[in-house]
Amino acid sequence: MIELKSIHKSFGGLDVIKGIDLSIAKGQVVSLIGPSGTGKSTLLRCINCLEKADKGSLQIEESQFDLENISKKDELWLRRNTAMVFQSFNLFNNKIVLENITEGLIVVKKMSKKQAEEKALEILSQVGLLDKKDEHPSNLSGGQQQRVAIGRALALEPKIILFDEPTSALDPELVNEVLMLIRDLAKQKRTMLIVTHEIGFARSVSDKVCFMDDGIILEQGSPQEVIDNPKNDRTKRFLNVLKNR
Amino acid sequence: MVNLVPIMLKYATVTIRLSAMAIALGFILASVIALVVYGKVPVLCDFFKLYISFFRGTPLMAQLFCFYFGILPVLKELVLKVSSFQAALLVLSLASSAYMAESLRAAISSVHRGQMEAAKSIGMTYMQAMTRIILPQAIRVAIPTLFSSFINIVKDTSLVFAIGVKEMMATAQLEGSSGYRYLEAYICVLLIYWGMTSVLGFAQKHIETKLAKSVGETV
Repeated sequence: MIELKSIHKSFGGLDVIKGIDLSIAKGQVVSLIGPSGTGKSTLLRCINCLEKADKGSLQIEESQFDLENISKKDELWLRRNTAMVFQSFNLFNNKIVLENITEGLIVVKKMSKKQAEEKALEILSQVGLLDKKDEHPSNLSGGQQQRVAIGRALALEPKIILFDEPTSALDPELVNEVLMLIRDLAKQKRTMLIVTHEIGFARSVSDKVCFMDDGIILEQGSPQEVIDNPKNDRTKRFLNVLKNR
Repeated sequence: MVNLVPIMLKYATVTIRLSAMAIALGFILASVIALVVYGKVPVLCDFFKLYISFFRGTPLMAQLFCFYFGILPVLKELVLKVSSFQAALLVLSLASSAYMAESLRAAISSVHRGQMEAAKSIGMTYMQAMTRIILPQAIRVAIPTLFSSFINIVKDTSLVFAIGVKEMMATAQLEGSSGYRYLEAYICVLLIYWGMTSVLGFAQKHIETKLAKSVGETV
């Protein structure tokens, strides 16, 4: 289980996250929805330590971290136990698909090359890209790249996978293959925190939906509560805008 | 002219030795400088910025003279003896490292920052991310400008005869004046330099093709 307490982050005097509390149970899928620029991605990046939170604590299972004074060692531990799937995939351009997945296993998890390759092949067949194992990322479609990126995250067996708008950079016809893969992972009871603008997807895949605006979580609850019957006016307006697109 | 060629080629080995060593030393030094400046290491970063500004902003000939005729005699009483070859190697390496460091730094900055973030997000340390992900991509961008520097080093070795290194240029002058064969001597020198730098040009092309393949592109 993962617990965020009172997370704060500002950039040059601009408060982007203003006190976020959130708990995610093991195997739970939580979606973060809300307008752009309200701190959703920044929150994920604080969990993964790509940004250093100004204040707040994070608990992952038995390990507790004070994010304000986190040590280099704990930072590495956090990164190794949380995985990030980026909007723009960020596959390693100088590595083929197979190496993109083995890289973390060999360098970070200190697996032997043979073991890592076996595991990577297993993962690639899970994300349906076994036939692309020797390709370079530049030769794959956006959807395929994102599936490899998800595979790279899965391989490290993180305690949580953080998705930062995983389909926002994709052509419309490629969105589905990625969403279907994430749906599969949800069925396998992977713990996931997903920032998304795909409201229909968030409704069907999530155990919990959080509506975030202006650096705080305004409303959270089951998809039925937050998406179908929002209580907060701000949430209603946001969902209406999306519906009327 | 024909009988000049063997003499020139003999001293060309001095040029080649000096160039190769200066390229190697300069490149190693440049890598360190680029990483320090890119990583904004306190104090050292400011020092190297000054270093780059100085070595890029002053003539190589003046640096050679200042070091060999100015600084070395002062140091001689204190420490070891330095040959003119060693002095030339040192100055060439330092000066070229300033240019190469700038090429490398620019190339590292050109790699999309998502690459570093992805490497960090899976738990790599800064050094692991640099050596395994960022530098292999940066070197591809740096190759053309690095090779320009390498070629410049080869050509700049022609200046070191001025501090008494007996290399190709010095020989050409000697042979030229001994029989008034200036034209032959200097044409011979030019052709040999051209040959050497052409080899570097071929190497550059070969490496560029190879590195393009490493990111899945065909040239």
